[in-house]
Amino acid sequence: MAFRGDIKALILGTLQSEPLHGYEIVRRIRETGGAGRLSEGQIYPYLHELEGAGLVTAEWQTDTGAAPRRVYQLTPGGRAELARHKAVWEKFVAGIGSVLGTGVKMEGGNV
Amino acid sequence: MSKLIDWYLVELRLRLDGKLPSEVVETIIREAESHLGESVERQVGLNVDQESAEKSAIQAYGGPEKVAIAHLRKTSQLLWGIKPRWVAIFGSLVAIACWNFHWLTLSMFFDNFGEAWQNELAGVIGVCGLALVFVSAQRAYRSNRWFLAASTVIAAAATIPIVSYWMIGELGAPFYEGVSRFHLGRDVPNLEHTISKLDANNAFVERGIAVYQHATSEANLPEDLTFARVAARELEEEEFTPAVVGRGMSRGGNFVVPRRYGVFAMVDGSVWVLGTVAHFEDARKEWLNQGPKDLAEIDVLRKGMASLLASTKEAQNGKLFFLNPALYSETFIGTLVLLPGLLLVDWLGVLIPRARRRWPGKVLA
Repeated sequence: MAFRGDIKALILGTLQSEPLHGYEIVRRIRETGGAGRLSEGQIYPYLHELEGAGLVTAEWQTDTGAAPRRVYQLTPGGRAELARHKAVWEKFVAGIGSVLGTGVKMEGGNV
Repeated sequence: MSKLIDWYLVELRLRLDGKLPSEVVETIIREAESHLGESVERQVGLNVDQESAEKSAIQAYGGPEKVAIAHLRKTSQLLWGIKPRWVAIFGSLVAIACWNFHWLTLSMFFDNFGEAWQNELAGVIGVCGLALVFVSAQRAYRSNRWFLAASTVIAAAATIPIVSYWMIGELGAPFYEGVSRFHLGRDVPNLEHTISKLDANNAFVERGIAVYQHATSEANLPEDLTFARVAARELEEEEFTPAVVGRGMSRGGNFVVPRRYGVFAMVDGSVWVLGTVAHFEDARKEWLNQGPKDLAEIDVLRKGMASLLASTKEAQNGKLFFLNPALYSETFIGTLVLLPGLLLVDWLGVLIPRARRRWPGKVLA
């Protein structure tokens, strides 16, 4: 299931282990299916929004011998925001899990 | 760089140039170039041919229009920290209030006839208000928030009927004046007084013309044509100003004459019909040449005032006077033509460079 509203959380999550350039971030997000119907180019504005909010920083990497890439990295604020998203998500999952775990009757039988 | 990716980047840039700061556009374009390059490289590494890899990379990245709109919508469009819609509403209110003040000398609402500088200042502030509306609409349009752009224009237009509710004016009236809905009780007697004074002046001018047609010297003149103070008392005026007279004529004096320029009347009862000159011969010329013209002008003014009085009485009985074109034509032009016109110019400014692009054909079809 795709939650487009969570794109920013997905971006922050993608960056939690290491700094990444745009192409790699987009590729990983698309692999999760979390981008929904957004095209690759439509994910970049979210990255820029996070940058504007000070949750990530970006820097052009030109010394690798390859074509220049813009590399994104989480800021402490970004880590805090990611932690908040995680807590919300865990609460959501726990809530759904508790409901599903009680054997609520849904169309098509017990779940 | 391949022609296809080059074309894509040009298309994307054309949709962003002028709408976002140039350094932001530069970052978006360089990032798109980097992304597409990497995407092509990966696919070519998987034995996909170059052209197919480029098409596939562009398709995955998204059409230039779609990507540009995504960037524009994410850009902050606040004006001085305020949402454009509030700036537009405030601006339109300021503009229309000031335009009306300017054109209708709305200071009458406050029982004073506005000085010229007050009216001009109000007009200037009104133009600033219009500029605010334009900037807000432009900001909204540039970020592809069409609903908001349209709302700014509608907000400006919607204030016209609001203002027109409280102003009662006359179609084609030869004066930039109206009556406030909140002063009907005061202005009905005022208008009646103005009309009676115009009638008195009309009778005076008719008599003056008749007298001067036969008078050969000042000895033939009645007292009220020879002594301005007598005429002023008769017509309930404090005094007459010296008439604006022709070349070679002396100003001032005591001979009452019709004013050459500016037969004028106001809602509050002020009437300017007569002036003075110093010599009998000058007075005679003025009465015979200018008198009949002033009579015609008095007639037009009187009809306008009578019509305004009738409307004011109708307003007392509850009639509404929305969107009277005589009063709101300038506001209509300013709001409904100028504002979208400025947006059209702005739009053409973006469109014209786009028309120069080289379209590579339906390569992505």
